Amino acid sequence: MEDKKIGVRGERSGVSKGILFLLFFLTPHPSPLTPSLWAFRPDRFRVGVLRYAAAEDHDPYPTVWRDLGRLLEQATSIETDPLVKEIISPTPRELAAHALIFWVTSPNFRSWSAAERQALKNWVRLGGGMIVVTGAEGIKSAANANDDQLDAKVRREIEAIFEGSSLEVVASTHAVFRSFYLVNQAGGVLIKNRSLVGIKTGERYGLVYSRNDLLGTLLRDQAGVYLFGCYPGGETQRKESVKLLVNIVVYALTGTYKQDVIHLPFIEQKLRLRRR
Amino acid sequence: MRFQFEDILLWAGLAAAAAVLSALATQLYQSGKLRAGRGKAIIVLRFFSLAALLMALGGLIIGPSVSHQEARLHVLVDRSLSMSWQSASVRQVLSSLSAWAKANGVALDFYAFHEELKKLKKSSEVFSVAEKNKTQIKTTLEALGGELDAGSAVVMLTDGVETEGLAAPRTALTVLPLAFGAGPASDLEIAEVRFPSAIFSRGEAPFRLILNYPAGLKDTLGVTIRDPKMNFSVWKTTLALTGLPPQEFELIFPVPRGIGPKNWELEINKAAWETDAANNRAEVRTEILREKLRVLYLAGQPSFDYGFLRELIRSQPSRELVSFVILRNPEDVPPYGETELSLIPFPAQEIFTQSLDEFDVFILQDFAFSRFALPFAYFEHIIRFVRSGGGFIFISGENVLKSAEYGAQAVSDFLGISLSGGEPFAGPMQWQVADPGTWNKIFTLHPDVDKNLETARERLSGVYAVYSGQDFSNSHPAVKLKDSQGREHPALVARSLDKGRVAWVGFSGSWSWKTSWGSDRKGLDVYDAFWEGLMKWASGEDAAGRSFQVFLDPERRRGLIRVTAVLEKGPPGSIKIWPGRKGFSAGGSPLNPVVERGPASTRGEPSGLVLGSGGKGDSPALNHYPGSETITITLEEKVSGSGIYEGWAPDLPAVWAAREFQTRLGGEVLTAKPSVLRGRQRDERRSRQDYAYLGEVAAANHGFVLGDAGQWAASVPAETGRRILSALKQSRERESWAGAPGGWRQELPKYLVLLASFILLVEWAWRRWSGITQ
Repeated sequence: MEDKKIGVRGERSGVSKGILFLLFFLTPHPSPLTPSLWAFRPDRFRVGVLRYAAAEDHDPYPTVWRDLGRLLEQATSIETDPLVKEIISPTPRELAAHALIFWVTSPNFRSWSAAERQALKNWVRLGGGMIVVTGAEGIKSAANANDDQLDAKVRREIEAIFEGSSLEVVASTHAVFRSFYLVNQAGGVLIKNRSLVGIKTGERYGLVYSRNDLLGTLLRDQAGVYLFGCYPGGETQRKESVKLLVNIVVYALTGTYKQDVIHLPFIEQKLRLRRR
Repeated sequence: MRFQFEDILLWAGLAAAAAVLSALATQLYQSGKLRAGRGKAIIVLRFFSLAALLMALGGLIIGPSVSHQEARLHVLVDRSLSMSWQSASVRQVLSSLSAWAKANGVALDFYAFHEELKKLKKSSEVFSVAEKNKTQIKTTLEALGGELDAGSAVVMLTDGVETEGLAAPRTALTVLPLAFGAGPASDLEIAEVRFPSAIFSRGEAPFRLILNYPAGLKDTLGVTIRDPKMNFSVWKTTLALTGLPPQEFELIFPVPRGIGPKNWELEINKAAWETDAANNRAEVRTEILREKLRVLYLAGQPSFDYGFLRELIRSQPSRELVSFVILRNPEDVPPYGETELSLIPFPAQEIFTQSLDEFDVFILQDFAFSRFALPFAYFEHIIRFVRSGGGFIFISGENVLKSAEYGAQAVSDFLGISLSGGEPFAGPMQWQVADPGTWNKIFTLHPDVDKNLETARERLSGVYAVYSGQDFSNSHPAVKLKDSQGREHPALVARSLDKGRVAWVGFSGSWSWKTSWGSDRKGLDVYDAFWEGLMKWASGEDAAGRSFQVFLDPERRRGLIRVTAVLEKGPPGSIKIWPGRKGFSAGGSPLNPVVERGPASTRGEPSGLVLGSGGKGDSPALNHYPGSETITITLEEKVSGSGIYEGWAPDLPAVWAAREFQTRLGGEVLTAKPSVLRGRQRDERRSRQDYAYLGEVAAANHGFVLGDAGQWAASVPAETGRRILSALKQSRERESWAGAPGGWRQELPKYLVLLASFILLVEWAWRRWSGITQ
């Protein structure tokens, strides 16, 4: 994996089509092609992905959701929905069916409308919703996009959604970093910000933002080989990225559970053991 | 002998007259005038006076001197049916009386009576006399008065129930009634209870209890604090009587979970030697306050439902949450090592066997014991937790549905639902309500009308198809509940079980109610309303102050009996009550012989015989739908806002046999065990009347009431024994005047003294004005 260049992807359209083909026809569960057998199970995990611009903008890695679901099923007791993700628009009706949504930013993102901002804000403040904003660094690097400009735009948009609130650094001791794995760093394909930042709603984070391309670390080719190398931490960085993604999902499902007093001595003990 | 004032005057008069007479006789004898003719007449007069005085003196001395005769006490035992439940007490009293008589040299004669008098040879024959329905005290005493000498002392053992009328008989006997059943004094009574007016839930409340009982009595008695509304014991302990009344006890009461105002009853258990336990009870009024509602939340897997509910519970500072989520199943294999995980071992044993009682509400969500290699016996601890007053919310889910363990009969009995169809592990199973009485529409659960989801039914039905029998939006497709007609519903089964409450939630995905609240965030927050309502219900908060009591009064009017219900915060106007399922026999057949079906009810009350409330005058309103299967009694509130409702019910076995009555208030069905007014209140009223009658009998027959039989259980009270001896002595004094008829016997000495005084006055006047003396 070390020899892979950042931002270099395989034949994107071919990979996407191939993976979608596999998803549609080779999955052992009911597929979208058999809608009569299909029913969303609210007790199963599913994410929403916010729609804007073209599909390659708002969902540049359509195959990683399946991998994320597999990671969750393999390691945790979370039961995932067979489709794992659903592309949705930020309207109250579509948001209502989800409690965790991803907003994958790309240079083609312009802004949300006022109604969409209001819907997102209310949805977060209603209690359980959490938005994960993540960049697609691998793609942007390939396209030589001005990432700093995009980051500034995203931050302005976030602050426009949550008027009066500003992004703050999520402490490394926060439950996001301890909800399932003990995570040391923010991870991602390319470390542009060593911290995770977020907007707090009450005691929990209603939004977390990483510009390090967390999802890109899961992207594989047809042979199962990771497409993007991680810089500068290599596979260790990928591992932390994967752990953080799992943690974000568990955090969205359990909230501040790992901040309960009963967990603290156990976690401290494990951290001491790891430091040795 | 007890001297009265008139006796002292009599003796003083006699002494003075004797002195004056002696002085006059000496004076006349010395003057020689007595020897004259008129002097002889004067001497005769003075001799008459002296004779009268001597007779008076002799009478006074001779009368009391008969005390050497044997003292005999006549014991008259009431053998009427109303005394039948007092047999043990009668036996104890006779034993005490025999011991006392032997110690004081008093002979006892025994008689028994109901409608006729029977002389017995010994006390044991009392119980061989058959008990009969009539109690003819008047006839009996008059008959006994004819047999015995006048003034004979008679101890009458009776409850004072007279079937001949309340005119007290008048005899020459000294009648000393000993009251059975009740009376102003008692063997053991609660003199005072000092209970704090406010106590904290699950804390300890010290309180003081002062008891009065016969001195010298040592025993150990049970004391119980019970909830008369729910008809269960809240607390039990024992008290040791040291024999030194009044005795003060300082007790520590472990406060149960339930909060709100409490009207409990403290009761000292009736001892074997007690005949009347009516004064062994005292009302205890207090309010249980809760510092924090303690919630234990255990989820079988992470889910949005868990996250949302956790945040809701934590959002209130008045709640304390301890939660556990199973983050990893035994079959899950994380790709990274154990040191990378933040997981802690699940303290199953501590939770289920040790810590459960520290919580008010336990929420168990989609948790299967077998999946986590835990013994299902832990579920027994949950059942015990609920029965002792805990609230339990069981949220179903995939883990539960795949587990065969929840198919056990004990679980069905506990949750009020049962599994039907499908084989465990082979497909989705369905739950079915096992007990229709436990079904509770989820939208009528919230006790606050404004927050009651029923209020928003119209608006909500456009969003969620909750009443149409269709799918609940976003609910788990496998966990629906079939009603009696086979229609499927999103499920909530809620029921009270002993002191606690159980709710079974048969759907998941309620978090979407919250996210669907709408962008304007106006109107009803369905999610909060539902879960807040359910938690309040489970913890018993909504039940605070909702007292429901039913009283049946055997006072009959045209084949009906009076029914009174007390329903705090009840609706204005009228309520309907009906015998609950426990009103039927164990075999399931209704005790009411009227078995055809009546018109259908629209609100969930049973259909059938519908009775109107009590009408005015002598004609209670009665709406009878012939051929009914069950009974609904309509009661009307007598005073608006009082919460007291009255009406009439048919005098049917089913009404009397009902072990509980039910009514509906809001979305909740309240139950109450009926109290029959022929119980304590009626007994107390009757006993006061009977005791007053015994007082009249005693007063009319030279006696007094010996008190309550309960005081004689261990022995004859010392003071009472002295009074009986005194009465015996007085009765014998009166017997000594038997030669004089009626009141003359007592008054004769006075008349003799007056006669002597009159003669002396005549003699003095004769001498003064006839010149005999100068």
